[in-house]
Amino acid sequence: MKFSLLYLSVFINFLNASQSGSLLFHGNCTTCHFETKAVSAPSMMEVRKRYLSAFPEKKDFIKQMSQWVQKPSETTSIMQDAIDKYELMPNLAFEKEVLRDIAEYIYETDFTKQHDGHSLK
Amino acid sequence: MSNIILFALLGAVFYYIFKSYSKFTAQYSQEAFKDFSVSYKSLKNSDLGLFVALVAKVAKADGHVDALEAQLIGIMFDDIAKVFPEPQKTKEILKQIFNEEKEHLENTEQIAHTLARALKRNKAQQEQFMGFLIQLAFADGEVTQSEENILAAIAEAFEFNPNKYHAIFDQFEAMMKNVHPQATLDDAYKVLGVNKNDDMTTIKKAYRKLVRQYHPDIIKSQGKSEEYIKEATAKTQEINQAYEMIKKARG
Repeated sequence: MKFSLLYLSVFINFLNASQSGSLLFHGNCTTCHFETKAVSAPSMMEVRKRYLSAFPEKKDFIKQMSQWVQKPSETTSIMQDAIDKYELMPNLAFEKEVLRDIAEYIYETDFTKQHDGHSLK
Repeated sequence: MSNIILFALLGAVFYYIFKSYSKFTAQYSQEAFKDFSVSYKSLKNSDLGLFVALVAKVAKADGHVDALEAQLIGIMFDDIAKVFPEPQKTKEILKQIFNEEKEHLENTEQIAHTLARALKRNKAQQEQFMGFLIQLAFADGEVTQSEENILAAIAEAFEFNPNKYHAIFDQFEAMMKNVHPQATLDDAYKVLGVNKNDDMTTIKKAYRKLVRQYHPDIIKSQGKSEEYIKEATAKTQEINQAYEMIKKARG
């Protein structure tokens, strides 16, 4: 009983975190980064793929992505070709913790499939 | 004898008034949504779905959705979803409505008008919704011109008493001035009930738990006084500012 309660609270915490990440992602990033098509910036699908191949571990993925977005720079970018095409992403002054929540959501979300924030009609 | 008839008649009249009154003060409860079939379409056209659409407009009015707004909106989805028969499915659909509606503002007035018609007989509910929207606009500390314009457009569609609207607005403004950041970092840790040596993950968890505990609840606040939203908002701000202060101190 104790164990199941513990699992439940861990699970609920996880749900809360991803919910907040989902809202923050859809409320901010998607203005430029569309989920599956590239318009004024690379698509989220593409960014996720590139980060996943460079940083397959969740911990590294979150750390690297949040660090870079907090201070975008051409020298530390893993997507030079995207910078050539769309220019460097502007510094948006998001907080580290917010960026980590968003990066976690991106890591967890396969944008090519039905996902959180995009259910069936 | 005539007295008895008079009483019976009065009784019938009161009964009738009471019945018709209760019809127009529908409360959002599990009982009320017992037979509701949850679908994208049915939710989108329900009062709560329309309300979520307006929340999206206000949240995105200043161009971004910030951390506390996301936190409060996420919790609100949970609150609303709980009264529907299929909470998980409901929540997914509410999120989708939110994500779609935040993208464009040109249908704000139309949605507000539709919601106003649905709540025509229920001024209390209108006031409650308006209070929540204003509270949300204050969540990130200040109300921008674009947020103010949207709130004003919604208030107009609701045919909301302008004096009442300004009174709510002024109250929140005064309240925000009174919520000062904690005097010291130690106080900030105390507000969140955490230790100075705790890591950021622990502190974030404590923060989220407290926001969840003290946030203004759209369902529970039904029929409660305005004090409720004000107090809950003040407490939420206090928790948020303590968290902000710790985040800043840690860089």
